[in-house]
Amino acid sequence: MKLYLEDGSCFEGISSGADRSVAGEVVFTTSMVGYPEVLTDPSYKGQIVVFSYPLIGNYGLKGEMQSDGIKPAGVVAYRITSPELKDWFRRERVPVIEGIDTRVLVKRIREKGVMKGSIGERIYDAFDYESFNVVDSVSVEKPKVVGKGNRNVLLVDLGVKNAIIKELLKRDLKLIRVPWDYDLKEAFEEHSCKGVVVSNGPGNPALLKKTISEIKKLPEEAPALGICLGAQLLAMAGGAEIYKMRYGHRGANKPVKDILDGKCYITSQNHGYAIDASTLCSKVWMRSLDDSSVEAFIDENRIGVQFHPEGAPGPLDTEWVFDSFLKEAMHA
Amino acid sequence: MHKVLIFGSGGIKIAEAAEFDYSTSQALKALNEENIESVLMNPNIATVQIDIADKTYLLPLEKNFAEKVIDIEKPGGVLLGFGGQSALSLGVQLEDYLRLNEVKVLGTQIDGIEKALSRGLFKKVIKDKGLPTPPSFSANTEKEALKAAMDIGFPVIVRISFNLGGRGSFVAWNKSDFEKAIGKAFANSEVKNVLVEKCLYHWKEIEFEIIRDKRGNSAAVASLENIDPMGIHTGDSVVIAPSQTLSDAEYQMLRSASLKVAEAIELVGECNVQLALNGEDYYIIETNPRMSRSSALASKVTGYPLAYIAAKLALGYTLDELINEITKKTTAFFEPAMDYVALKVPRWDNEKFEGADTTLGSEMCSTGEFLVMGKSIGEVYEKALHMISEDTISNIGLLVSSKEPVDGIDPFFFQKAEGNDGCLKQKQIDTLAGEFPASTNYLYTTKGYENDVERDEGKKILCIGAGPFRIGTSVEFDWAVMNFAKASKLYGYKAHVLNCNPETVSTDWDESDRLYFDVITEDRISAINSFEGYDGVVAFAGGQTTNSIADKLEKRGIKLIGTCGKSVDLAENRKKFSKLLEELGIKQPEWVEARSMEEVFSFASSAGYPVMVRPSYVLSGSGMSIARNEEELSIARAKVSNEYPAVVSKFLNAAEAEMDCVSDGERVYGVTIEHIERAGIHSGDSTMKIPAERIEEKKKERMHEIALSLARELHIKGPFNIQFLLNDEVNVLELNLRASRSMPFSSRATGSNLMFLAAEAIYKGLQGRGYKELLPEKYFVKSPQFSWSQLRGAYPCLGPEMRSTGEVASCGDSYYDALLKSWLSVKPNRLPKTVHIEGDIPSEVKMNFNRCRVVEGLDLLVTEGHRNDYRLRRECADKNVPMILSSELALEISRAMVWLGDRELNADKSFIKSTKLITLPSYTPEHDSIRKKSL
Repeated sequence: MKLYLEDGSCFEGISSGADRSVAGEVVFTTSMVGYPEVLTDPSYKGQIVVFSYPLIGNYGLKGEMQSDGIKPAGVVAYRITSPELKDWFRRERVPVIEGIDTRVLVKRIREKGVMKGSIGERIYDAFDYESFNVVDSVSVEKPKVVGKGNRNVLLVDLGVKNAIIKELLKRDLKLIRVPWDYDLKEAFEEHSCKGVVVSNGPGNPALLKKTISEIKKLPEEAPALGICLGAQLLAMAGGAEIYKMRYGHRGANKPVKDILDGKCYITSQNHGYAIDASTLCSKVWMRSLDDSSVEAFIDENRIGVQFHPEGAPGPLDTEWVFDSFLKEAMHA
Repeated sequence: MHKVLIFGSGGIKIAEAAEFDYSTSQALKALNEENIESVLMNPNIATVQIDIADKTYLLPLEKNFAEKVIDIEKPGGVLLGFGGQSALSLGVQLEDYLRLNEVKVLGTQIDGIEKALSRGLFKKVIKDKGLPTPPSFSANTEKEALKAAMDIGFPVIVRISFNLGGRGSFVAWNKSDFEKAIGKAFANSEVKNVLVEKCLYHWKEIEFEIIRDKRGNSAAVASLENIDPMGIHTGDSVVIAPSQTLSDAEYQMLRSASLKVAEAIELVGECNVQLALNGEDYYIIETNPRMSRSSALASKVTGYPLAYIAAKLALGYTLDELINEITKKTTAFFEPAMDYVALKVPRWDNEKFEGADTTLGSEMCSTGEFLVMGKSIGEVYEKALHMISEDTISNIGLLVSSKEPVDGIDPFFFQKAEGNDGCLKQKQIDTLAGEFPASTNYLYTTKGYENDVERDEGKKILCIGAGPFRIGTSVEFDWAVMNFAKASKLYGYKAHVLNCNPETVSTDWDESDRLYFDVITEDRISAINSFEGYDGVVAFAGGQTTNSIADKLEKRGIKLIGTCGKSVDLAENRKKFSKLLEELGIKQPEWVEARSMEEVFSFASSAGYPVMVRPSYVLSGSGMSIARNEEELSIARAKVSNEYPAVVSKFLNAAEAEMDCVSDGERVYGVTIEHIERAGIHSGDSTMKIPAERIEEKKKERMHEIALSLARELHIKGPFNIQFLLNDEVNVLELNLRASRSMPFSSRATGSNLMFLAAEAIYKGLQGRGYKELLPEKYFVKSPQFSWSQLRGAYPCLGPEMRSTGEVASCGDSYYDALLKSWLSVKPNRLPKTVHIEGDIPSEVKMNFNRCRVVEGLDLLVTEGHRNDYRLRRECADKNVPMILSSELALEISRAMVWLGDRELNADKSFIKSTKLITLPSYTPEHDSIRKKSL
């Protein structure tokens, strides 16, 4: 089985998943632990994920699934070490290639940027990640109430990870989980929500004009927390611009620095777009120590974090962001 | 801060080995960068760190000596976290003195160190953080300990406060096990306190390496999974990185807990946290608030220079202020991502010791380790199998061949070894799995599509490292490799290093132009040589094992640097060498090559007893024995057969001496070394002295003449060592055409770096004519360091087989001064108040001790030979009672004590200054090394 890249290169390996062709944006993650979490993360929808760590499957399916199934379009690894995992790929009809020198692939993506690719046949032009609304396929179909907490919070589901829901529920909240194109103001008022959480999700934020305009309509004083794509949309609602990064940040070892108090944190990240600091109306709160890109911003009642405070996979060193949101923004 | 004092870890012993040469060296580099004057205190003469420090005190790592050094040097600060447990314990003892003299403790404060080291206090601090620790009780008496064990229920593990390599700790399955071992446990605790703890038999054992700065920024640099479960000391376990069988939830739970442990002890620098995991349950086992064996391993595994960064943090930097030296763009605050797996395999030498217990437990007993990297479990197993000789115990064999999983080991680890298909590629170890461009020279080989690097351009050589350390091959050969590599650069060569020992300075990627972290096999050397196209390969620096493949490499068409492989083979081959000696008119003990026991007996009866029996191609006297009569000869351990002939020689009861030399084939520069112990005791276990003033001039002249004639005859280019037996005549015992164990010692004593001279000899030719003796300005004595306490059950004795694990040295204005300081630098030696003398010891010894008012008792055991006193010697080993095992040394020490009288040993003259030769643009030995000054 082959992996074709838009730059004309081709890598041959062994099929360890579904025998079918698929196209997607080829990205890599450097996470060494937590492949079940990566594979079920809706933010990978529409992408072909390359694992830089060579052994995937060592501990079977032990993990905390982040959604109802495998989300990446395809998977590339040096070695899939568990038959259970291969069965799962086949059941979910996900094409997988193993036996690839993934380091070579990572270096190519590093140099040339993320690019279109396909597994099976040379069909990488069949799918344009940047102009396709992938959020629609991972967002909840209709509103849903989750949990029994004391305070209501509106959760804008752009492909939310279960770990985010878990973190929110831990804090005695009831979640009003709504689709990406829902009338947020109405839902916010109808449920007397105390705050809004705009979730993570896949794809190009510029395509989510509907969500951005819905966010704009929310009462100005509504406390909001945006995570990853959610943070980008919050920023865009405030007038900021975003740009596509060459190959993004995907891994569990990403350093960020709180530029207000100087403290540094290791975070889990998975994003291919970033906020342009010069267009951001809010205060830049954290920056990446790798490339100085915006990692968090803060306003009186709004917090946006580009990283994943819920980990899954990855460190939980910034789990306190959820507490901050409750305390500082929601005054709960 | 202008001047900083740093403590090393002393002589190499089991559980405290060369990993601290790596960590101290890196800390010294960090000090150099900051233009801080560095004062090192470490009697381990063979370490590389001495080259990096501005000044090194060769003194016992004891409170009184440290205080003297502080008085003389008046440092502004002190670094405690780089010389292992010895340095840390010394720092704790010095707390008041440091405060009084306004010497700042840099890095983790003593308060935090104590929290980590005292078992009881640690438990409390950890509990306060809401972290789980195994049920346990602290006990100050044997009775209390037993009660605790009964309350917890067996099995229990007994741990010791302020311990080293788990020494004295043990697992008891029942009351009788417990009662047997508890005495030794208390004997090994400096504060007479133990912790009795629930034994987490077969739980998973995971370690995290944590860095933390003064601002509280912290990161987990590596996770290590012990393939052998809890109950087997991590130093004796096969360890893999990163963790392989932990889910994200498990990993994050343990990682977060480890960060909290670092916070609890207010770590500034680096610590190692050990945890046990069983399903959703976990416990914090312990932390080492310092660089450790595991942190050295983690540095090599990831490429993250932990010790260097820890030193910078101790000096007050924060992690985000420091850069990742590999990418040069990103900061030191990150967690390395690996795109390979790394496997550490321990190496044991227990078979060398009579009576030694070879079962693995909570006390570490391996002497060395190696690390291999690859992209799959099968690949690292395959590499590991290449590095394991058939006689070593190892779990790797079990992992690759076991038909069914073994209890306590995750079934994932039972996998087949996987050969590679021959298309090896050179891949970089870059800390970030290829995510950022890296110009790193840190390489390993594996399967793949393309190389990460091109062939290195220009003139270049490959220095082959010593591989895993074992008795007979240790840090001194790492010194030789490093120094020859550095010296080669002065002659326009790029120096590459191949090694697989994570405990070394030579496997630091900033030490060589390229570092190949890979297995040391002829095939791999060939492959790397074809890729790089070396101008030559250096086999003589890495010791006996490395040198023994010289001839084979040459036969494969690989160009050797230095003496040709044919000459090496001639010197190693007893028969050929003996014939050469005869031709040159050089005396040697009478000998025969015997292919049967009949031949052995007939030789013995004609030549007369005692005789020495040894197999061919020996390393550190392996399998050698002396027989004084027919009975002893028949039980001689050497296997004699037609296929494996043994060399039987007349044993001469004579003085021993040796020479460390360098030659260009025409001229010889040499250092003559006197041995205190007489023939029959391996030179590695002998006390050595420079200058060799007690050897008659005439004999010395003959020795030098022999050195010169052998050098010319064999066209020796580079370092060599000759062992002599001195009776009425000068006999040659053996010739080693390579770096020797004593070369760091002879180099430092004379101020002439023999590896630099070797480079001069090889690349350019030496100056002058004939033989030149290199002489010291002071008296230097080197003493062997044994690990009797760690070698459970082994019978402490000396003989033709080497048994010491390390060495220490000191220097002074007089021989006795140097001797005493050197001997006291050996752990657990101390000046005795009482002494017990056994066996055939000269009466003068007792007289001398009496004059020093030393009375009968067990502060020191003086004995010799092989006697029927196993229990006595073993008791001394287990209770850390110093032993003198040869009558010659006993005599010298007793005389030195008489000389000392009521005086105190001082520190003033016990230092050597670093030559920092590497910084000199054009080095010529005449400038600073050839001192003809007589004493």
